[in-house]
Amino acid sequence: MDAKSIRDVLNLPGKSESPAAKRPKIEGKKHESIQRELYALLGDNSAPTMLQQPQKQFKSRPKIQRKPGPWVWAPFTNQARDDGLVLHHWVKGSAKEDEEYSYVKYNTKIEIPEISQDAESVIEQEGWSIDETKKLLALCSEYDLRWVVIFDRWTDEDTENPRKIEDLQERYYYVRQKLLEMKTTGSAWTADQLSLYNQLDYPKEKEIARKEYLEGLMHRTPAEVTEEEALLVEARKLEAAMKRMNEEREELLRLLDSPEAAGSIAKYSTSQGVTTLAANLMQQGQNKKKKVESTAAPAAERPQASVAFIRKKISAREEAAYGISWKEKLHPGIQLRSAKFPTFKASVQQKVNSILGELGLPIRPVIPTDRVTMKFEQLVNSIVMLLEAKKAVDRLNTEIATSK
Amino acid sequence: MSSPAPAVYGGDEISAIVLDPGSQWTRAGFAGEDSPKAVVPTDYIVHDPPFIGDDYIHVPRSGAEVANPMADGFVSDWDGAVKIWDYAVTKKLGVSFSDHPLLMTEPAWTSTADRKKAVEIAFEELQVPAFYLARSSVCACFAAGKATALVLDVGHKQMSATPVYDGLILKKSSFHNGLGGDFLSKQIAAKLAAQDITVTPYCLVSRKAVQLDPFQAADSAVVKSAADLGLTESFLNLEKERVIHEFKESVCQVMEVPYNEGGAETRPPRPFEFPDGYNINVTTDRFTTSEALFNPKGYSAIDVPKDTVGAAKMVYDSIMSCDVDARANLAYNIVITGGTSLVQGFTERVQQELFGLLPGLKVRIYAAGNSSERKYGGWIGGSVLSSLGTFHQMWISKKEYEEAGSSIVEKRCK
Amino acid sequence: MSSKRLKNVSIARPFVYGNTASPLGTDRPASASPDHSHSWTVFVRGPNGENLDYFIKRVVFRLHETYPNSVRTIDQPPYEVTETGWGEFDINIRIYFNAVAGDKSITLYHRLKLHPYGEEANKVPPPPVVQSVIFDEVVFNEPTEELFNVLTSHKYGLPSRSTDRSKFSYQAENEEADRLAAAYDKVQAQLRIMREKIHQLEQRKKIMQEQQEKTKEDT
Repeated sequence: MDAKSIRDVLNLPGKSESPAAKRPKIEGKKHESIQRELYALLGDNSAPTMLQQPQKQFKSRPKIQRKPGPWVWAPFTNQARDDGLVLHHWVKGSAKEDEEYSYVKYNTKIEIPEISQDAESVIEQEGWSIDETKKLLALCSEYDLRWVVIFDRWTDEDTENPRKIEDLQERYYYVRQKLLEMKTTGSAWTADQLSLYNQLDYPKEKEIARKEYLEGLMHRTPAEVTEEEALLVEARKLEAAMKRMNEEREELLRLLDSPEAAGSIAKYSTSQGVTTLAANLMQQGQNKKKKVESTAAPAAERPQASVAFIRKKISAREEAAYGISWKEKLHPGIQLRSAKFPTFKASVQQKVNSILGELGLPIRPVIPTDRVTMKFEQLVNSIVMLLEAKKAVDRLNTEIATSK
Repeated sequence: MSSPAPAVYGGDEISAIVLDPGSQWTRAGFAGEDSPKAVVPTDYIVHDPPFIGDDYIHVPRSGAEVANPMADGFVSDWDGAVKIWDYAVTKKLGVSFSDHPLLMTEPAWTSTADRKKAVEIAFEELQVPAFYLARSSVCACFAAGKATALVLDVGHKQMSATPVYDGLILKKSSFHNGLGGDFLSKQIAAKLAAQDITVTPYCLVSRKAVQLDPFQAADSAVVKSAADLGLTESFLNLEKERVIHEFKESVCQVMEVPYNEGGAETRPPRPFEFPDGYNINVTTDRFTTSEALFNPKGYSAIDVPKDTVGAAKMVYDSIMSCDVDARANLAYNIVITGGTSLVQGFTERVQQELFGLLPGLKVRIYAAGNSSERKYGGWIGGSVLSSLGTFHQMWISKKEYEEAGSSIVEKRCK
Repeated sequence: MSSKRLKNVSIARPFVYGNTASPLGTDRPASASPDHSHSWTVFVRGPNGENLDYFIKRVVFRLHETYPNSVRTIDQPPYEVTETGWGEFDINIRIYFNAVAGDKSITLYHRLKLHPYGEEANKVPPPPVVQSVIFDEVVFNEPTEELFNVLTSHKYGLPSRSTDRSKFSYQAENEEADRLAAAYDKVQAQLRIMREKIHQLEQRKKIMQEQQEKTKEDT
């Protein structure tokens, strides 16, 4: 069967003619406006080819390193329960069977002692039956010694005399003390037990008084509150003033007391006496000056009395052996050699120390005998002079430099 | 996102369900979440099966009666309550009671009989594997991140002040009265009635009146007749309550100082448009209504029982009835929770009043800023509690209930 | 004998103080607690080991407060305290002179040394005994005649040569004096140079100042 015969049957128009006719028609399309060749240059006039857009860089999916851990709806038991209730919770990974529930450790209870039969006689107290006491202890245990709640849940047996919270507390601490006594009679008390016993002392009257006081405080009016605060501020100021006064008094007393008079001061207590005292002091000062000058001259001479005395005893060589030396300007007393090293103020001392270090010497002479100390003194003084000279040089240099 | 190590935040979620039944709303959700997924109105339409849930109850049906299983802050009609809880948990949360431990909240003044009944219902009807009955004040306290606080819970049907000490309530120092959101609504209804303003619920309005002036009579609204639709009074009340609720939320305010007429008059009024198009400008009434929360004798528009005290005074009474040593701690940690506490200016006024009543104590008030946290404080605390690792020893298990009976609740749920 | 004071006289008595320390080996004394690492002895004695009690009445060593009875009073020679411990601390030493010397006292302190330092620290094995000994002299100024007699009736002497045990000898003294003298000469030399420099600089300054004044005048 060919196409033509089908067409005849179906009465379809001939196919070959129209496209054949069309095709050359299209190709031989005349362009009035522009030359054919030029048109050919333009191209097919087909749709412009799509520019390849750079593939937009979306954030790539995070690479999962490992498979997500499975969460398991795991059953667990709570060791603090005794009925074996099985609850469920989400657990990452596999459920470990029979692991101790991590919150069990928070199940703490305060230890409240039980009253045994023989204890009953020990803890007897007026107005408290054993049953009531047991009820109280049960409440204490249940509410972990929260007294406010225990008191709230307490039902009075005898509604005529309602118990106050202090009554309950008193009874409890009394029972505890007595039970502790019972436990430790015979053997000696350990320090812990003793401290516990003392802590169990409940001062009921004091507690009641304290609470009344607290209530009073609460009911102060705002005016009273401000008044109190003002009083407090004043009290503090007064305290500070008093402290200052005491300090000043101490200072004065110290000043007055320090030089103790050799003889009686009675003759100096009048104003005339004071003037004579002043005159004496002036004279002494002048005498001192004269003395210094006079002793400077006969420095070579040794004071006769001492010389004579000593010469009696020992020879010159032995003098050295005994560490005797002659000095001017001595004050009686005992000192350490090391106390007499020359000292200067900190900045200078530091520089001196560093120079000593440069010279290879320790800051303090190793064997401070008389001779060594003198030499050391000389050395340090000369170092100080050197430092001063250096300073002068620097100063002059800067002066010259600036005046240039 | 890795969670902090359990040791750090002490949590160990066991997928418990937390149920906080309130007088107006019943809140249910999963422990460990920060808000309940199922918040269902506690009102339901009596039917077989009952119509429960926001999407169902407000459809006007002829002869439909509205019922509420709660009374005095706790369940009184257990059958109705169970139906609501079943809807909340199985339909809204999509889980079954028997697969999850259940934590339920209760107010501070429930009787032993109430609590025993709750345990019974939980194990016998709901078939939970483990159960606990937590005090809603304690939960609100935990939601605020404290273990000791004085919780002022202003709910729909009641307001309560309960001291919580170290996670335990002080029953003898807990007070409550009937001043709540419902009280405000009733006052508003009374005041509107006194001014001859009829409240037409949305379901009866065919076409709103267009008003150009306030206080113009809105009789150009087209209103359906309730009788024609066969709507019961309880249903109508339910629907009217919605309008009044909107009114209350948008208009009521508490003055920061005790109410004085002059001051109130200088405040700008708030407009309100009723469903039928009726507009009013509310001036001093919006202050006096909420003033009644603080001074019921002086300002309440309806009758209140003789010894009802205001909010601040109730807090004061509660603190003062506690032991002296505990008072400072309680006053320094006052938690305000409950939907009605969101009335504008409420928390500031409480603070103001307490400063005056407790001059010797440092008063600090903690009130969640987020309205969701304020409304769901009890539920959130329950969620916190039942997801703690250290709490899981306190559940009452089915086995324990079977061995010891319902009296186990008094021993375990302190 | 009169108790006249001898003017312008001073007598010096050298003495030695310090401590020795050695690490505790296997033979620990019973009183040592387990964290004590060394046993040490702090002492005051004569440089040649001679008796000083002719002018010392007693010596009081104040140890660290953590020692029981931290104030140790030694009334008779040897004036020393032996203890065990682990720490180095300052020991306050108070030497009380006897009645002849006027019942005075002087105080000095000594830092207890347990561990070797300086070049000793680098020695391996560490030296068995660590010593920290200071030489000092008590100077009696204007002594009474009585004291003078007492002091002069006891000879003292430093060892003439240094040995390992006593570093303080006449030889060492001489060496030190020589070192100091040498240093002194050096410093003096430097000083002369400096002085020269100062002189020069001052001259220059003077000349410059004159020049400046001249230029000022000219302008």
